[in-house]
Amino acid sequence: MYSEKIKNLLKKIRADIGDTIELKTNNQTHRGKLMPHASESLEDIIVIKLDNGYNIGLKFDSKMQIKKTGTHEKHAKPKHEIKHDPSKPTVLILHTGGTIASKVDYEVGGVVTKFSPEDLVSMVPEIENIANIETKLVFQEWSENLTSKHWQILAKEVYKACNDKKISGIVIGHGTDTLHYTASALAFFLDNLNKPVILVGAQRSSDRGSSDAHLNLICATHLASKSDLAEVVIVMHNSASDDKCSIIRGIKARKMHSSRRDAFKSINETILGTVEKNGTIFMALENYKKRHEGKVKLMNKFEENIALVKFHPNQNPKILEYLTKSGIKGIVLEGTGLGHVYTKGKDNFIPTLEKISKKIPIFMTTQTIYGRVNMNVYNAGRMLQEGGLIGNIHDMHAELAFVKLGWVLGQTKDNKKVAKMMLTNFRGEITESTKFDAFEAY
Amino acid sequence: MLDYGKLGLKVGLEIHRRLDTKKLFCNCSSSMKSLPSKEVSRTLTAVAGELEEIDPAALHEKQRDRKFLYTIYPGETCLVELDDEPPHDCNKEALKISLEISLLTKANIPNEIHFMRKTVVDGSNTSGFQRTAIVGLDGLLNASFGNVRIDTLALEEESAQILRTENNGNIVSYGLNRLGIPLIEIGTAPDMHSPQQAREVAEAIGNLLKSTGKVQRGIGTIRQDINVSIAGGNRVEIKGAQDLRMIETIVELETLRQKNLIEIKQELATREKALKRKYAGNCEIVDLTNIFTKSESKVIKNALSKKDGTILGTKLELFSGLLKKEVQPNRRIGTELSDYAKTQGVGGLFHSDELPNYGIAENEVQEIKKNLGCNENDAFILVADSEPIARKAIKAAIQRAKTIATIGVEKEVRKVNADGTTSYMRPLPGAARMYPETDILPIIADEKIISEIRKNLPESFQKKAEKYQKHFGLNKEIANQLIHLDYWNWFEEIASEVKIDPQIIANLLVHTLPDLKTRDNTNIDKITKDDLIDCLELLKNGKITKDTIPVILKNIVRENISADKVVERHKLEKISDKEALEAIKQIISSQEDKNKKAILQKSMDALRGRLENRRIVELVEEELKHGDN
Repeated sequence: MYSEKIKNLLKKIRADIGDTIELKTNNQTHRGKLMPHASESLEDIIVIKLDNGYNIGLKFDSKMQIKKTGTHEKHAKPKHEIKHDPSKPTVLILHTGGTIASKVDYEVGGVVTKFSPEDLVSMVPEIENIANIETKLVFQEWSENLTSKHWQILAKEVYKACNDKKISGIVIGHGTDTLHYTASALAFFLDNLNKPVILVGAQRSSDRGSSDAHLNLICATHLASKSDLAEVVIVMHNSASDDKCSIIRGIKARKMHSSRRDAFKSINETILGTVEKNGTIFMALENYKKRHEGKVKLMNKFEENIALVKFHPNQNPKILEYLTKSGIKGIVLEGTGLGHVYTKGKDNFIPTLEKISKKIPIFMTTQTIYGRVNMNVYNAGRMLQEGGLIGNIHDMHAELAFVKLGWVLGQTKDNKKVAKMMLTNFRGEITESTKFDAFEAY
Repeated sequence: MLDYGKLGLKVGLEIHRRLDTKKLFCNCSSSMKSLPSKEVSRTLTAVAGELEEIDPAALHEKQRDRKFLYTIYPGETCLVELDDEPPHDCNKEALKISLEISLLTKANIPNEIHFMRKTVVDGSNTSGFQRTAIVGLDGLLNASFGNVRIDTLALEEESAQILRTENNGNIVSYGLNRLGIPLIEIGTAPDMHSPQQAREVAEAIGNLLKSTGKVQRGIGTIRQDINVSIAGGNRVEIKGAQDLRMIETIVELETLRQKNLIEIKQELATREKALKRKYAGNCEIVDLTNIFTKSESKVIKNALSKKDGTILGTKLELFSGLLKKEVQPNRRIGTELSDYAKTQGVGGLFHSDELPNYGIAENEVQEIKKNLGCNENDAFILVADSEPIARKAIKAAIQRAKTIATIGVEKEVRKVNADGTTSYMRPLPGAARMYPETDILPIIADEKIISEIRKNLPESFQKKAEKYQKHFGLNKEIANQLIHLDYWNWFEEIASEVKIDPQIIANLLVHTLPDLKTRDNTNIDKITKDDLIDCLELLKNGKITKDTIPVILKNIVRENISADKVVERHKLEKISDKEALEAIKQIISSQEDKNKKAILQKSMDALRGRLENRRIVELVEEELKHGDN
């Protein structure tokens, strides 16, 4: 936004964004289209787009002569109409925001969520050849701004579509940062899932030629339209190349890189399979849930008052007491290695754990991300179990365990039941054995 | 001889030169020395820019389904080049050099520098755009024929380098080592009016850049794009002239092409009048595959063996005899159409002015004419490939045929061929290809920093040459030779490090290095300033002779080791007269006929590099004289 001073001046000469203006100082004259003020620009800078397309910032001062020399011609953008072909399956694309549905905003200076679902179809026209596309905007949020309330709303939308026979599969466009939390939540919230529910995101915004959104969306639409899969999965780049996408069981997925397009990895389990741009689907695992005609049950109750705490050297166990006092209903701990925290001297966690675990469930996971928790091996682990810590022998990564704890607490408040449910495998969130090739270290 | 004044020739230049710093938006090296490792494959799509329009050049590429392979070079490629990480901050040194160059042209520096994304979807940038910012506006350059306006100076990323193309250009391999090297782009107004003027300005800009001492040198570090138009023609941008000497030829041949195209357009108009028939541009595409089921033509047979192999043809009204007209040496109107077809992935096209030939028989030609409804005033073209490709290709060729009739010279981007002629590349991009690079914050061109740069601007070459004479005691000739070298800046730098007669340093740079290149074919680009300093230190300390230096340098390049190591490995240390005399005595005694020439030769072979050549000769002569007594 321009400063009041400049805004008034522009108003006086009736110049709007896009109009051609001329700026004159003693020895220089610049002509160009008035552009919005970039948020990081200095206050007294006027940004213009020159004829050659370049933007420059010019410092405004009182000696500057400014006049409008042309009016912006607005081109009506042709609206993309979505056609229906009865011979094709129907795929519902739900929108929740994120990079996959974003473009540059010059007021804000960064990428913002701006695309309507129709915009997306017009940008990736290939998806229309795969299926009839129905779209719905559920909400527009960057994924870091999503809460469990959003998961509940989204689950309800998916639930409705699952029980709508004419829809073959559901694709959900979503920000990538917390995509794996949403994937876990949807998996728990939708019992007896009957068709593919595919979460898809992008690491490069859709307004650039190199965006990964293109391939991800095409592959997701292929899978939603014809796969026999009935699970919540994430479909994103398989490698740094644009050749195929991985099908990752949503509940086991995790974002493992801040910027690479192949950021999503399957933790402690190999990927379910791959999809190519031409629609070739290869399923590597057989143990996935298959499409069926039954009804889906919505179980989206969630206890949002829970915490995820990462243990680190020098940590004071009082932090757990503090959380409990503040009304937290359950804690997931991210311990070291096989599931350990400090067990010596005055900062020993054991006494604190003994005290707190009588009131609320405390569940152990590992900060190694990959691998299984096993608190039987070392003395520290055994002491922790005696101290009341739950969660021995499982391979759920911390964020997954966090979502699961919220969901379990949404179903029951009985601590014993909670402990049991946390180690029960509901949706494939716990693998029975750790496969050798299920570790992809980058 | 073309009369450029009468033709209204206008030439503008866009000079690109790599800056000698790390990459513009990451910490990778710009040296292009590492060896390739892995490869990733990508695709690009055309997207609408800030003004909601798709750029014509981008749209042109979108029509093709291309795959790009990117090779990674360790140390010279990171996730930024791979478009798998946002750019880091702009390299401060590169920014400073670009501002320095702007000030040298007396350009105005914008108060705020905004990086833009310039849409590029030919795959030469992994992101689908090139990052570029204006660092100077409205500069000036004095030339012998008057002032040349410098419209813009831009700081931008170098593109990735094409390594190879396959499958008629549908798979393109690029090296990521070059991507992201900082470039300064200097764009002049169309103020040159002859090929000679264009060359003079290109040379002057080259010298200005060189005078900063902060630009890369060697093959490929400079690239000149040339904009050419004549009255009644159109602006044509010619890409990638690497050689100064080529500029004159390119301008001359492009002037010729535009002149010929205008004449052909006029010829078509004349025919319209004479035949009382309007050129309608109705080019119906007809499937002619049936005519060729028994064809002898290799190209046709090959095309028909492909999946959906098809022969498509179309009539070009009134074009009879025009397709064989030359527009540039060995390039005809037919070639103009064929260039357009080739951008769609076919190998080329056939046209009626060249048939029967290439295995296509007269009866087949008659059959085509009949099918297309051609009379004696019409021409036709044929494209053979799998159906979708052939259709796109013939459409592109038809588009060009229409513009030949209606516009003549099309606004376009062309690439230089080895002989200075040009081939069509893509349409001229418009302003729609630019949108802001929001991952990089606007840079404030601080008045303090600018005045600091202004104070320390490099001297002009003329001033430098004077200084070399005054302060270093060089003669005028060698001083002038020094400033024309790519590595001229080494002279003062070496002189400040090694306390040795400046004449020796100047000789080394002006004579020894170029001699090694021309006489010995040594790649002197691999010789660093430090290598020269090492040699001069050895000389100063009496460890080697002056004549040994070329031998050492040659081996530094060949064996990739330091000067000291070369001396040690090849036993090049200077020897005393006494030791030399011993060796000469032995040679003489083993030589039966005492032929002076043979003895001299053998002595030189044995002692070269260990004693001054002149001294070896003296010793041999003395010894022979002595022996006679």
